[in-house]
Amino acid sequence: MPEYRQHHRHQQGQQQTQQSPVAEMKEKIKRYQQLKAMPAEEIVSIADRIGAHLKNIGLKTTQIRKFLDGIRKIDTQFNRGKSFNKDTVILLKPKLAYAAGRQERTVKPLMEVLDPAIDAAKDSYESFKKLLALIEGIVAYHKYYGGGD
Amino acid sequence: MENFNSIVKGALIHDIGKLIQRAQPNPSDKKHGQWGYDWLQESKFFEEDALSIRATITHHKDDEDVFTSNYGLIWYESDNLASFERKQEEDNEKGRWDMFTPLASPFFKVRNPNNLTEYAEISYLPVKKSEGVESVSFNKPDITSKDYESIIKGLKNDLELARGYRPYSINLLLMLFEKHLSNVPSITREVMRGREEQLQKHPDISLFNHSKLTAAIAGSMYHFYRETYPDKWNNELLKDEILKPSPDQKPYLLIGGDISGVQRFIYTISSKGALRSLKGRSFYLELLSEHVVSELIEALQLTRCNIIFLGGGHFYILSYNTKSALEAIDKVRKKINDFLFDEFKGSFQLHIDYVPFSKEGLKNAVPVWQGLSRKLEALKKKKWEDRLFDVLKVECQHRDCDTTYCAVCFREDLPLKDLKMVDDIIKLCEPCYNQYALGTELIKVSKSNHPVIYKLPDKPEGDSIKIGDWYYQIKYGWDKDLHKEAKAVYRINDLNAKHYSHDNTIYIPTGIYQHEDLKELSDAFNVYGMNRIAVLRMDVDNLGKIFAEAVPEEDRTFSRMASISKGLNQFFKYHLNDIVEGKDIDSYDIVGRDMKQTGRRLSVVYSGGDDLFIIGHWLDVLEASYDIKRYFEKYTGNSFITISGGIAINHENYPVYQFARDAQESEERAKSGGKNAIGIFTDESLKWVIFEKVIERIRLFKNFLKVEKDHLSIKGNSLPKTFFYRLLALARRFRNDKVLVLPKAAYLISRAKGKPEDILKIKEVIMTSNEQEWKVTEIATLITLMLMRKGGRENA
Repeated sequence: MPEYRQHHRHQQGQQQTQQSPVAEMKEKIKRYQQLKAMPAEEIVSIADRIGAHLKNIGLKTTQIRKFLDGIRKIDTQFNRGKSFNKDTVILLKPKLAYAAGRQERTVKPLMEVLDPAIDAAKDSYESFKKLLALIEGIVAYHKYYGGGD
Repeated sequence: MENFNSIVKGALIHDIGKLIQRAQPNPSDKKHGQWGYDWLQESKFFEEDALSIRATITHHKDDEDVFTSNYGLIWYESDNLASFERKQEEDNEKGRWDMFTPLASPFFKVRNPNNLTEYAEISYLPVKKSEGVESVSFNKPDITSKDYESIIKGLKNDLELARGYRPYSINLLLMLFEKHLSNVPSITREVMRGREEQLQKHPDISLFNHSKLTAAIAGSMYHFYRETYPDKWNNELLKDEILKPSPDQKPYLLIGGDISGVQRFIYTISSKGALRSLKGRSFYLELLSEHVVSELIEALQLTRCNIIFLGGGHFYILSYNTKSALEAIDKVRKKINDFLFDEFKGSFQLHIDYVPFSKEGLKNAVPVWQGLSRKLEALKKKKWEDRLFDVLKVECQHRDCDTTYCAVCFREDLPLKDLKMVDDIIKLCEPCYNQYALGTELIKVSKSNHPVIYKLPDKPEGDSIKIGDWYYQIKYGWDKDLHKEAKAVYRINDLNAKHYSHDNTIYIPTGIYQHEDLKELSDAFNVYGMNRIAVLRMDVDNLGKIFAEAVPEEDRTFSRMASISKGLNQFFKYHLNDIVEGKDIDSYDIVGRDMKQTGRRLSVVYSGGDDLFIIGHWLDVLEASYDIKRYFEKYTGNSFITISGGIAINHENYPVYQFARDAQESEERAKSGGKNAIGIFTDESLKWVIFEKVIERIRLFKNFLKVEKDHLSIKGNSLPKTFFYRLLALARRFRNDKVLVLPKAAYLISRAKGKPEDILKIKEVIMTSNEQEWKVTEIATLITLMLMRKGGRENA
């Protein structure tokens, strides 16, 4: 990994290299009953900080890849919101819990943040889309900060 | 007519003494008139013009002969009328002469057309014309008598070169004055009031423009007074008639001409032989305007001094208002339109009209010009009114056309001729055939040649163009036989006095640049990056407003309005050639090809007045558009005079009329988005400042790429081609998804390898939620991808 990535962290990520932002981010998400109400800027900023944190604690892309693929598949099933089903969204929670159980140290922080997000994503397809954006964002930033496979 | 010539020539050279005086160690020894008179006599250049040179000492109130002859009265009055701006100052305030005052840009009086309380910063021209593209300076240049000495030397050299052609023709003198005196101020009075006022009243009319207008007015006066007072003219002094005409007397006419249907005529062609046909057609129109103007000038017995403006299918002539003048105009109008109707079946028409005006119109010219435009507009709405019967007549198809039609214009009523193209024979009607031939000739014309156009009474051997009863033929140099026979000899962009031996040699600046190797459109197709051709159309924003309102009312003298239009025309006709070629100027070379060595592969189809049409390789056209904008800014020095354009990019065999339409739509988008912009691709309109950022961004991307002879390629493994495709997709998604694309952008960048500082820069411009930045990225990426593509016919 080239050196510059260490030195020139994305601003928000940089502040959080020492301390875990998980609790703070979790609180932020909890403020929203419905995820669709969360502004895109906030989603990006949460994804940024969590992505950076996950990289620092050594999460590998493969560990969350499966989960991301699963949620993308669900999106296709929903077919642009026409056949949205909130049960399918709620069922993401045990899936995530299972993954977290196997990789407690690295996946659990992700689960902690995503749990309230999933709760707030079940009301509508719009909210679900925000959830997808959040997860995609986390994966992207994780990679951006140098997270590997 | 002997006298007429002397009066006009006299008016043209009446102020030459100003030039001489400013070069003297003791300028105040004599008045400028005397300096001029003595110089002209000593030099013996004007030996045969004894009467004319008296104008130098017969045009001021206190010159002794002014009020003793009708010549003197005309010189005196025409000098006054040509310089109303000076008049006001002399009457209103005391000034002091500062011989070394520079000339201000003719554009500096133009206020912000959208906010008339906003004035432009004053800018100056160097007193000696520069070699290349003219640009103003915002610092007052220091001028010394040495500069004037050098101008005189240049003028003298040229007069020397042409010594054998004496007495010098008015046309030669006009060319030489334009060459040497365009940046010499006609007055050098310094205004003594506050700084603001000094700036407002700074001289901005050149000695060339002033002399030319004085000559135009003098010529008009001569005819007007001779015809209006036939008995008195030879025997009496017309002092009151000339100096104090009643306010309702209208001795002058502004004649305006406008060719309608030009767009359709030029661009409604198929892509068969497009480049030559386009060039030929557009130049045909130039020749046609030129032809009409010279017919009018001749019928009115005036000189080319009276041509106030000629370009862009429009012209303005200053004339006198008498019965015989009106008859002459009508006759020319009818003759030309009969010819046009027969030749082009009404596809385009020449509208000529005029507005009579009093001397007041020389002080405030706007009502005169506006009245004329209104009349011309009205005429355009009544196209071929008097020939409706002919227009509606059913045309019989020519028997050649039973199975086919003209491959260029699709006409079916004329016999067809075979035209051999490279590996194809196409059938053309005669007018199209001739225009193609003309285009072919023009393509051979490059900067190094001195093309000559002879106007001949009889059909010459070889290809020629017939307009009315005359034949025009292009040659690449002097032709002894044609020279003798010719009624007029046109010299394109040629300021060499030696070439003006024919009495009727006429200097015509023309936007004509074309890359030498560009013979067909396909030659520009496969030059760099993706195989595409582009068309660029551009024109000055708010031109109507600039003329009607932007110059403060008290400053709208005829002379000033003429200087402004002349200035614009000069840019689009003369300087444009160097700018688009890009060789000897500081030109934009986006990817760093060898463009500066080779010149840009494009062709100026048309340029003049305030607009242009260029076709050629897409990158060359894109770069040229920005160079035109930059140089236009430097040329006017006035940020309120802006320019907008539209670019259409497509395949070589995309129909030209569709290219023209697309580019026009792009231009309209640029204009509707607030002007000062360029329309590019299908739905983008970019302010020029953003366009500049696009270029910068392409350069940034280029750091990761390698410049090959004909495309950009991947450098090592820094950024793969897919990076740019993905980035383009992201930029397009940004329009809807906004910041949500940021994580994806971050992911994309995380895969980049290259110099850390370059990647940081890329990161900086991409990791942003700024909409404008993403728009820049989108277009820059698209262009980069087009540059990376070698050949290929897929859509970008």
